[in-house]
Amino acid sequence: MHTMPRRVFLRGVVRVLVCTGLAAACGLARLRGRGGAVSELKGRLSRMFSDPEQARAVGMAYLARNPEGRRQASALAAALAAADPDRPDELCALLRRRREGDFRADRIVVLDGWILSATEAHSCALVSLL
Amino acid sequence: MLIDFRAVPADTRIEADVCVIGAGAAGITLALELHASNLEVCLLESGGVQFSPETQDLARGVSFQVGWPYQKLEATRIRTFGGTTTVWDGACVPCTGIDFEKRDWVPHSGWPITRASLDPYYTRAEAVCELGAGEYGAELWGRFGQPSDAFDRDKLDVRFWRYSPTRFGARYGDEIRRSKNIRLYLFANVTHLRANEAGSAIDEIEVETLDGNRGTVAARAYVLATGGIENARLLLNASDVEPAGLGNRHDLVGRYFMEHSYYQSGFLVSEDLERLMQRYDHMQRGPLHVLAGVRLADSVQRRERTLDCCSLLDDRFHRDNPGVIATRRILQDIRYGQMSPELGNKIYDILSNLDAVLMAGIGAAVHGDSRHYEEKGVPVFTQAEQAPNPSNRVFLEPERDPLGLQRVSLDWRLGELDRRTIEVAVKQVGSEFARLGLGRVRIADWTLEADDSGWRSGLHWGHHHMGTTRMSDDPKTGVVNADCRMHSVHNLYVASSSVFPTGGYANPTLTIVALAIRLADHLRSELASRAVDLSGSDRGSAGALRG
Repeated sequence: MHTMPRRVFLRGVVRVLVCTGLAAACGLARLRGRGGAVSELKGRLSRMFSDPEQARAVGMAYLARNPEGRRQASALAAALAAADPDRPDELCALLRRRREGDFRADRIVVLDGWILSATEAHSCALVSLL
Repeated sequence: MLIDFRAVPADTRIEADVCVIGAGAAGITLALELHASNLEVCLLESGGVQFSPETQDLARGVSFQVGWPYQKLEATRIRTFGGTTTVWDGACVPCTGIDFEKRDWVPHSGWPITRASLDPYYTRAEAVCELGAGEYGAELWGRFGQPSDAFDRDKLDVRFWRYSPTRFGARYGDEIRRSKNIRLYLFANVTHLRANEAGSAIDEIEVETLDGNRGTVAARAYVLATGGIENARLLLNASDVEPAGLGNRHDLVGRYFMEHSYYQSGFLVSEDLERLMQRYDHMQRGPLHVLAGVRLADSVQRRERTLDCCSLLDDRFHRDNPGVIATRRILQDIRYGQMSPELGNKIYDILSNLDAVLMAGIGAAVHGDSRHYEEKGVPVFTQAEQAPNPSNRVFLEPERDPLGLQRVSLDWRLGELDRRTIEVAVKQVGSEFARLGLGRVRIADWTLEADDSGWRSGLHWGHHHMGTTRMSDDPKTGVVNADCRMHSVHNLYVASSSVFPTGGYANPTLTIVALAIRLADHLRSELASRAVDLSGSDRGSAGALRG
């Protein structure tokens, strides 16, 4: 079985995942209500991530192993989009809370052996889908 | 008083109040606890003060691969004065409360005593093991100026190992030599437990040296303190009255053998590993030497129906190659004035890995520490309780040792509950370390594999032998009662981890010592209160040699 190298995980998740999630949240929030915004969001996220390709690789790996991944990523996007677009700090806090809540409630995803919170996995999936 | 049994006149009959068989941590503790009484104690040790390959060979097993592969039996225990504490690393921690409970998801679990009832004995055991005050929780980080990690208490419980500096033989040898009522006989191998016709009491035991000198010991009470394998072996060999072995009417002696599995359960990566390892590596200040672990909380064990276990960050297997390990062992043996076992093999390991040994030496000289951490990562290891299983057992083989005792083999394996426990543990560790931003964990490949190959090949163990004369109130489910007395042999007791019905995750020595102290209290009380001795004939307090 092909396994995800530590370098990919580290750069894709450990260093940037929280930023990724937060950035995605901020980006989604700002773009809420604007049609045809996907390409703009994609560009914005790419600029925000320190290594968006690695985060995307994690997301693709997750989606390849989890048929439900797309729906879960969409649900995350919807949850983020429901937040106040003018309060990016609030969005960041929301993501942190979701991540912490996942770990506390054992909502974890094991991806090639790496342990992620569900929110982290869904954030990466979202990035890879954009 | 210390006596070389080889020099005792042939066919000497030794009389004592208590005969303790085996001078390791349990036997020495028990003898010293009886020192203050007027009881005459005869302490029998198979080996001498120094390691002897000929004596060690008496512990050789026939096969150690009947079930899962295991260490050669003669390499897991040391037959010398002080026993295995002559080479142990000193890791001590008490068992936890849940370890003593009957857990409906752990078949055959449950002690007839509680953890609380052992508390005062643990306190005394800590003094014997020179551990200092009995703290084992997160408060110890504060003693080293380190912050505590705020794990969710419903998931993980910070639990430290404390390291004992005590080599029982070296530490307590002089006290025993000076004692007027403890007679330590070296090179005195017990070859037979001679029971009365009913098999209900020991009349005497037979002792023999490797050079053929023989004698007997008659006592009011006898205590087996030779460890989880040899205790069972002595009982199974005593088959003249009971063909299945003394005290083995219910086919329990030798069964329920347990070990502590020690698996690399994951690998932790951290952006600030050096800082993290300041509190998760060995910490030492003065006599206080500790190592932090994170134990699976009771609530998780109950919810997930797992065994007890504790995880730690351990880079020994990365930083140490065989040459470095051998060097450290030899230096340790020199420090304690002992001949190193398997010296030739160790020298071979050193010469084969001379570059690593030199680098470690340079590191130690320049940096004061031979350790280095792999880039950003360190293995996560989990030490786990093993589920008791009657099929895991020590059993007699036809082959005999030079003294005529049948040798044994070990049939031992882990099961599904053991495996699942480690999987649950490493996920909890991974979740909590990630939640607190301490690092991220990749769980070990073997947990992801459907077959058993990685699970079997990745096994390390603790050299902890438990369970072969388990404790129970019911003779049908245990060999000894809550007083550690054999159910069917009323003057024969056991002081060893062999009485553990379950083993928890904790290294057993501290509990062994606590139980030995408890047994000493019991014997003092029992022998003082009985005008008639436990074996049925009144010898009173005797200490005479009858040649």
